[in-house]
Amino acid sequence: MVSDEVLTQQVTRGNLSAFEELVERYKKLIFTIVYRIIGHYQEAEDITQEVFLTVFEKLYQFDSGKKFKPWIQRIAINTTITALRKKQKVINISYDENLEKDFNLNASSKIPDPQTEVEKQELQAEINSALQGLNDGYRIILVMRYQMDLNNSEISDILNVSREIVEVRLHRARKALRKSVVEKWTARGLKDELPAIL
Amino acid sequence: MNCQQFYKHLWDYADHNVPKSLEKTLDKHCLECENCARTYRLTVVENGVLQNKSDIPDLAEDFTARIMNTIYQNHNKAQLASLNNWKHFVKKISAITAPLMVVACLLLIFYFYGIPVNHDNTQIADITAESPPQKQSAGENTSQDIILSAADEIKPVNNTVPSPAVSASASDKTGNFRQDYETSAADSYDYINQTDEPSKPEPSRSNNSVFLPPDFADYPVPVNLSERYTASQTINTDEQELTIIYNIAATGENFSLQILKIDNSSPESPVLPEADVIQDMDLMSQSDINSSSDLPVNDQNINNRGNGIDAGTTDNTTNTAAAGNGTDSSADNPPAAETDTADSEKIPTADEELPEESQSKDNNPAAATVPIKKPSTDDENYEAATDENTSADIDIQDIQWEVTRNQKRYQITVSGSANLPPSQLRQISEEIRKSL
Repeated sequence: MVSDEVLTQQVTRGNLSAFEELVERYKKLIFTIVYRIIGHYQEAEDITQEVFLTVFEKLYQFDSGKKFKPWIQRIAINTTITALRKKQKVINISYDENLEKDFNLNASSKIPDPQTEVEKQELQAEINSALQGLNDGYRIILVMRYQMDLNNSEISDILNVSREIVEVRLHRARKALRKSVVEKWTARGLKDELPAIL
Repeated sequence: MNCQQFYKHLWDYADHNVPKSLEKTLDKHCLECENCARTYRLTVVENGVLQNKSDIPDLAEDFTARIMNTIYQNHNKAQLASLNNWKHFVKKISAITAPLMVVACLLLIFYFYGIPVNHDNTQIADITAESPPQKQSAGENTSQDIILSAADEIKPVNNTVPSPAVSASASDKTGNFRQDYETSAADSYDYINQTDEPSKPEPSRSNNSVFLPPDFADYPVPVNLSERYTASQTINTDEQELTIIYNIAATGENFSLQILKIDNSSPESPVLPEADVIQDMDLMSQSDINSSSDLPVNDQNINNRGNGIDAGTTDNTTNTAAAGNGTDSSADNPPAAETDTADSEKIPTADEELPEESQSKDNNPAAATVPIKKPSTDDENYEAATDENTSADIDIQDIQWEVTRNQKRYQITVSGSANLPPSQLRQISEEIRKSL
């Protein structure tokens, strides 16, 4: 299998089929990133297309001695952030559709009863609401960490910040998400109580 | 481990990103502390929600194809854009170069087909700049000034008359026209125009046409004269007299055509120019005119004198005496001497300059040939210009007749130098007579 870096060299020599191969390799990843941040399919698809066109235009700037994946991910994040700033889009990350089937509670092996299912759905709604309330920076870094499954070093490369800054931001994002979830839970009259499913 | 230490490692613990030993310690604390255990489970739920990718919809199957099509289109557009840029560049260049090419073609046409532009005026300026400083009194406008002003103003010029330098050199060839060039005062209304080199007359031009002053519009002047003769200079001293100098292209010789308006009150005695005016008519001597005025005036009366007359413009007194009937001498002719004293400061009298040999011939009309003298000691240009002719004897011959135009009578006098054969002068006169 030809490496990504070799393909980029072929593209710069005019081989457009090599770029087609790169699109096939990375379109799912890039679309996932964009969709998680944007939360709208059509807009995410348009931005994903824009990402690949930007990659094609700036491929001559790519240093083939480095990894291609962080480079294209950085372009995807920056393009999405730019789109967010342009549209002042309120991100609505939807976890509602298929959350149930993948909602794996590692700590609970109990067989869910109907009350548990209701509480689970309520918890998912609270988490979604909390995510929507987060600012773009916290949301993006959470997506990069948990959706893109990037470690702190990779996130620091993409965002072009130090690893310590990534760790601090990620910690603050988790605390902000937790704080938001608890506040919402408390607002429902369940102060100092966690869902029974937990 | 207490709860605070547990919270410190909570997210890493939920991500399974802690060492095994620490993980066991954290597991033990979860079993001991229900609150921390629930917090841990909440964190795991959050991670599950954040890591959930199952809800990500699939891209359209033609997503890659659309991207590639877009890239192809952009690539073609880029190529077309570059092509269009090239076409636009060519259009721009064409828009700039086309007028330049047209102008260049016009200039080439003008150059090869003889439509003069500023080229001639530039020549005038250059020629006149090289011309010698002329002696002139204050307030007088010399011909040189007129030429220079004409060159500065770049006015369209009459192309039928040679440049003043050419006419001056042609005049110096016979030693006669220096004064024409030199003493064209404001009141003399001297029309001196220039043209291309007379040695290469262009067939398409009419070189023998004459640019007449307004007061001489009704004067009988030759029209459609042969192109062998080029009108080089037009001189009018007053409203009664017009003199045109012609240059014969083939031989380089000159002849003059004098048109003198005759007073109707005294038809037998035409109005004669004053002595100082005659200085401008170098081919004609006053004595000749005096003598010719005594002759019967008609078209058939051709008086070919052929007598030698001083070509110098300053020896009119001597010429008058010499070409007369032989009864007057320079010493015995006080009126003539008084006439010369008007220009005595500039032009020395013949008595002072003529050698004894010449003066001895003054009393002999048959021996009227007088060597050319330097009229002015400080006129070095004249000396240089007439260097070839200083030792040459130049004779003047006249042919004279009379014509009537608009109930006015004019005396026509054609004069040529001795180098001009009488037969040719007669032929010229006949041609002029027919063209009037």
